[in-house]
Amino acid sequence: MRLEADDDRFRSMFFEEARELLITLEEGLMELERRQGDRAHLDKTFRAAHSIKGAAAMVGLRSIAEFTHHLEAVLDRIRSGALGVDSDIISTLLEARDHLAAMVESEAAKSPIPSPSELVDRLVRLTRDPQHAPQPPSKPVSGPPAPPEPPAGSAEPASPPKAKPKSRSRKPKVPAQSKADAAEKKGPAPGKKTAKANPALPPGHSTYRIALNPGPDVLRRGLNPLGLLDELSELGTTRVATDPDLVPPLDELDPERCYLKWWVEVDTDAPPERLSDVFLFLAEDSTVTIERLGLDGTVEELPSPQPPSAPIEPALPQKAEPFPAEPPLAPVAPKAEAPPKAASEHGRPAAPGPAFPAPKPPARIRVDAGQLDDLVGLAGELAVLSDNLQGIRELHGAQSWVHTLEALERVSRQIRDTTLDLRMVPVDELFSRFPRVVRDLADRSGKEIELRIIGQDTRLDRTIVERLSDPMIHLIRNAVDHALEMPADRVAVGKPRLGRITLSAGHEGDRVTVRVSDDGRGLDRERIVRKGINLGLVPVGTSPDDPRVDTLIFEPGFSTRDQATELSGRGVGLDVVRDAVRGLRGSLSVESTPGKGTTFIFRLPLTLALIDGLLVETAGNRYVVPLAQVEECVSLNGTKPALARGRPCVAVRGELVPMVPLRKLFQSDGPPPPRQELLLTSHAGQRVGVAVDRLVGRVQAVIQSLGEGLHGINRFSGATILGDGSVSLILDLAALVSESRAADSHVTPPAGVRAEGF
Amino acid sequence: MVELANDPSTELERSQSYVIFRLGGEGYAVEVMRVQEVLDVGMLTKVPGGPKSLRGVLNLRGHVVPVYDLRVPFDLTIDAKPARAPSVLMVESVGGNETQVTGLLVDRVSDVLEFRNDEVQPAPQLGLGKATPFVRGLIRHQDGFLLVLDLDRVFAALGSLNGGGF
Repeated sequence: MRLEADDDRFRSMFFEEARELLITLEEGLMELERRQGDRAHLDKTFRAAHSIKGAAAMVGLRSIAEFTHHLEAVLDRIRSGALGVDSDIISTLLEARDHLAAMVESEAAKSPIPSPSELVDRLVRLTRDPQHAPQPPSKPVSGPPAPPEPPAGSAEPASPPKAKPKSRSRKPKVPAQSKADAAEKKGPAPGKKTAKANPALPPGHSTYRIALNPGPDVLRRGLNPLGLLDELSELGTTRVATDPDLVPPLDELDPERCYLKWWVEVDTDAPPERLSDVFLFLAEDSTVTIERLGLDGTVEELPSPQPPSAPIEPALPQKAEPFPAEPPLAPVAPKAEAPPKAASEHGRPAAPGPAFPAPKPPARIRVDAGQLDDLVGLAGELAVLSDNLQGIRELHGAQSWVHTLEALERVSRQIRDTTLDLRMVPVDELFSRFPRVVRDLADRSGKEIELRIIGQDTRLDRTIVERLSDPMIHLIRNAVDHALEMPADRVAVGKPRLGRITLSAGHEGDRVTVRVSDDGRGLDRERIVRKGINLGLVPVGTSPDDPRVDTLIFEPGFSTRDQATELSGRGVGLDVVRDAVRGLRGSLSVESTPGKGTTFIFRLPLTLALIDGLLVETAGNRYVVPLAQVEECVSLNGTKPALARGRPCVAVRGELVPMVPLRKLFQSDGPPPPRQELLLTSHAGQRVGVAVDRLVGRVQAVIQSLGEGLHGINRFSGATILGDGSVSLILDLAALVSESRAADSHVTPPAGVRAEGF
Repeated sequence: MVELANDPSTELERSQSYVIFRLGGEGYAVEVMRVQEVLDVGMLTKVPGGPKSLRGVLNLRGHVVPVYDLRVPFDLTIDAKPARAPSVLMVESVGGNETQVTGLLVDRVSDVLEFRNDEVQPAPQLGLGKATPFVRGLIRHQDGFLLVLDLDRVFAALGSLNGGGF
């Protein structure tokens, strides 16, 4: 039972890890074509595949491991320089990646799917096909054309290792001094006295001596050292030694602790990188050293698969990067040739040049989202409690509390802010999916499209980032499908052949804006007006130049498409996108210039968990209104509302503004106070006022959901707990205004409402 | 464990604890496992436009919890000025994937009693008025019957009431 549970746990860890690796793999593949010759990039991509394979094998998912193996073998061949990258190969690899993702998800859902033999065949063909030999590079790449290496041992375990000459010149000689040091520092390696390569080795083979100390916790992490030894033995002939004295007597033995170290000698023709690859999964408390034994008894220490800074007993502060950014074994090419241009053009930081130490990625840990939400909730409560205490202090005026209370308030707010901050993720997590989307869409539509990404470091609430995905894909599809012209048409009107879609994110006040722009043909206002008139959304005779025409495209049922295409969704309009954004307390607008392009602008709150609100009162009940929805507050000092088209309106600085009395909407008894307050908000491009009894003050509110059962009540977007411990509902002004419109439309003739609603 | 549960005689002899409460002159029982706690009704915040059965929301140690009045689905008259303050039964309901807490307004919580499973008789198909669909059994107790509530059906009804007009 317990083993099974453990199994499940390891598997679910695998699925989580695999999903991340699949993203890395996809990004890597997408960039592969552009970053040809970028060794570090290729290594990273290869490593993602290799890691999936290893992890899958470790949790017993053989079919995934085997399928990944084919993908990895192709990448390995590209890495060795035996296979040149072209668009077809990338497409095949991406297809393989997608299938792999499907396999992972189907395993997670416990209904595994097989690997498609046709795709496997194509991958296998790529590992053999000599046609795709790389073209001699026209410009220098970071590495001279390496002599084609044979598919490495593990890449095709079935075929016997072929002895092919390998370029010795690739291995820089290690100075004698450090050789001696390295030999000296070795533990009691049993092989030490025979530290000499087997002279009977076939040509091309080398002998490596590996000292493996996987560390005490390796078993707890679900890694079996035996698997590593097995993997080594696949590479060639191995001799393995260990020291059984390291294992304590049975009654002191902790079965989950690994006590052993191993010394392994391998005779193999595999390149040294393959040996390092075996140890990719070891964590920071493991140590591995790999040495090549020369025929003359020389010992050459190879770069450890772990950072070279700590060769023997490293207490590594951060997770071991299995490869140095630039493998020191690779011939050092003139550094100026590193191609950072393509990378920075894409808006990503260029790959660090080999001359500089790679910047350490910020340490990250994985946190359970549910726990994080709990923590956010608790921190919010803490802040509320400290508010409560403040209130009590004001009642009793006990001076001695003051300092403690103030400290408590400060600390609780800091905790709340920090935990809220934990929910924030860079929009890159979202944006990084789109190069693939655009590539696929471009392929299918026959259009040539370049995607630019700007501001991907901008941080947003995790939930917003997740829920923004579909709306953005929708807009990107629209851009590809409708906005961007075919290459020939673009050239005909004097535009560059290459259509451009730009995704950008940035701050605007306390909101985050996300833009999806294209340089296509722009909105067809004539057609929108025609359609709007047909649907009765605008009066006959509306000019296409009316600025409000653009917002018509967000109306339900509005689509100027005459037939659905394969690319754009069928029947799902922009109103769905707008509603999704409203659900995130954001807004969506559009700017368009005919012939120049269209930009959709999302304006979003930084976080969903907290709002700045205005506390208002109506009929004795208090409500919170999100400050972001309020443009202005105006006192109605006994002003009698005028009736315009059957609806109450008030004049605000000469402008007639429709008024929605909250008392009426909430069916409260009694007359309103003589002096009401009007909250002005913007609805469908028009100003509307919501009348409340009085303003109480400003609050920062931690938003809570009203719970499953109350989702149907749109007028409240949630609830919050006030300083006095009472619950206050959060008003959604936009929903209130729509609601009052809907109520009015029963009494007013539809045509009038429509015209005014516009 | 699994085998035991499958044995009908053992199953019948097992007993369960129930929270007993009064509502509109009737005695009701709900499984004690589903009841988180019992509170005096405190500060309730009204939800204008909410279903009639929703009496409001309250703050349960920092969480906003809806409180429903069972008189509405059970079609009992609503006492505008009750003699004593009603109690709120905090009950766990499963909504979507997560467990939620919902408050049920009752006249008075009287007891926690243990009954064997074979003491619970099947409920009649008729005769209990609007409450009939929510009663899954009867327990003879003292000189009357306790109505054993099927809380999931109650919540399902309350959930669908939100869309409708109760």
